[in-house]
Amino acid sequence: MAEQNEDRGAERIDRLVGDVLAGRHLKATPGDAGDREAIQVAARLAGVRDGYPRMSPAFRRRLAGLLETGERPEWLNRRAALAAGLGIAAGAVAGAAAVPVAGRLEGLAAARRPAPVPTPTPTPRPRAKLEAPSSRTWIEPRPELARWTNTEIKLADLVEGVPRRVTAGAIGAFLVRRGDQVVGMSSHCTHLPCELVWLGDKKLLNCPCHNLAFDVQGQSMQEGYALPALPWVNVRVRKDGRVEVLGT
Amino acid sequence: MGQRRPDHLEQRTGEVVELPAASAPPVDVALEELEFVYAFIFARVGNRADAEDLTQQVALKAIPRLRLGSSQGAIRSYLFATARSALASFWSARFGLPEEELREDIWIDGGQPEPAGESVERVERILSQLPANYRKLLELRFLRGYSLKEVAAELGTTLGGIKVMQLRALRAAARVSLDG
Repeated sequence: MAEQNEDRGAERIDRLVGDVLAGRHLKATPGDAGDREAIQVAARLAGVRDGYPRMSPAFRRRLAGLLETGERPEWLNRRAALAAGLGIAAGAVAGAAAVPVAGRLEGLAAARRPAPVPTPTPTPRPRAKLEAPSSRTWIEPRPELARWTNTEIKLADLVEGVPRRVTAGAIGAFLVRRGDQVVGMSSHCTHLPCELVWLGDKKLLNCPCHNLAFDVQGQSMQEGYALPALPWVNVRVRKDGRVEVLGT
Repeated sequence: MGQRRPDHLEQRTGEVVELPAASAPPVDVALEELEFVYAFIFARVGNRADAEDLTQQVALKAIPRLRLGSSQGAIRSYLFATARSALASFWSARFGLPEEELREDIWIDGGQPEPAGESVERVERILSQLPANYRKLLELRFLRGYSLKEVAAELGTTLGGIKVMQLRALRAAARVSLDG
């Protein structure tokens, strides 16, 4: 009898674990309270499998809409609204929060980029190693649009191994110091055109869209299929030591 | 001193354009704070769907109450206090237990967000105290993304057996975490 109970409990926990690992809602019920700690441990273990947990671009956009308008957006689900103490039926959300909240957020001006919860890098299962093409491309703006942009960053201000993100018109780039030289490389992931984020504690450039990483040289850190390296961006150092980027 | 440039650009001096001063709009800055909150919540619920729900709850509850001129530390503390409250409600609703009981929960506690790596270290500490077979099972299943069938094959046991073993391993991990 006890064995049967354990089998049922094991089945139940496995369904919950399967949902969580698939990114779905945890469907625990009061009937699972007896194994509360085990379920919470499972959630915690699942929570460290993602090296750099960041909001998905789609969710971030929706949240930005909420912050900008202060109004209840279409995507707001009932549970979240109720939990937040907002009355959907009475339209209280739109009424009470109709004033844009952006102006109230100025106290956040000094905020920094979040340091995501790091995880041990999972050892991938053996796979055929596929090498990306070795030739590294350059970003070349059309000649009639190309112009040098002064970043106002001096070579001396750059720290070896710590990229600085700059923009030059339509070109986004990371500047990386190498001794008394500086190189520029694209700040966009070569998988999807998402802006890379420098994670100082991990010393890597992380793509928030698919959680991929590049090292400070712009080389893919992806196991298995390596992504193409980040394209070079033309840079030069002026006589006064300031770095310029060829942008648009 | 610079990087190689293509020949056709070599002679051109180009126009120097000043970059605008970098100052993120308040909404962008708030989103970055909420990234902290999202990471904090994700580490505790382990799935994107619940993490997004709870993060939007925090945004709805906390953002309208933010005041001009609040220090960054005060704002962050407020956001995380709200996040902890949302987590307590989350677990309370799931298990039908009073929130007060869950507020003291080891997975929710903490006055400030954990320093980077602490969450991982805590999990590693727990795993290191488990018997080898439990540790291997949990590592394969949770950290390396193996299906239960693959874990069973790796450990040389049946699917039914591995399910029971998973339950026992999670219970053992819970005991270790409570003791630690």
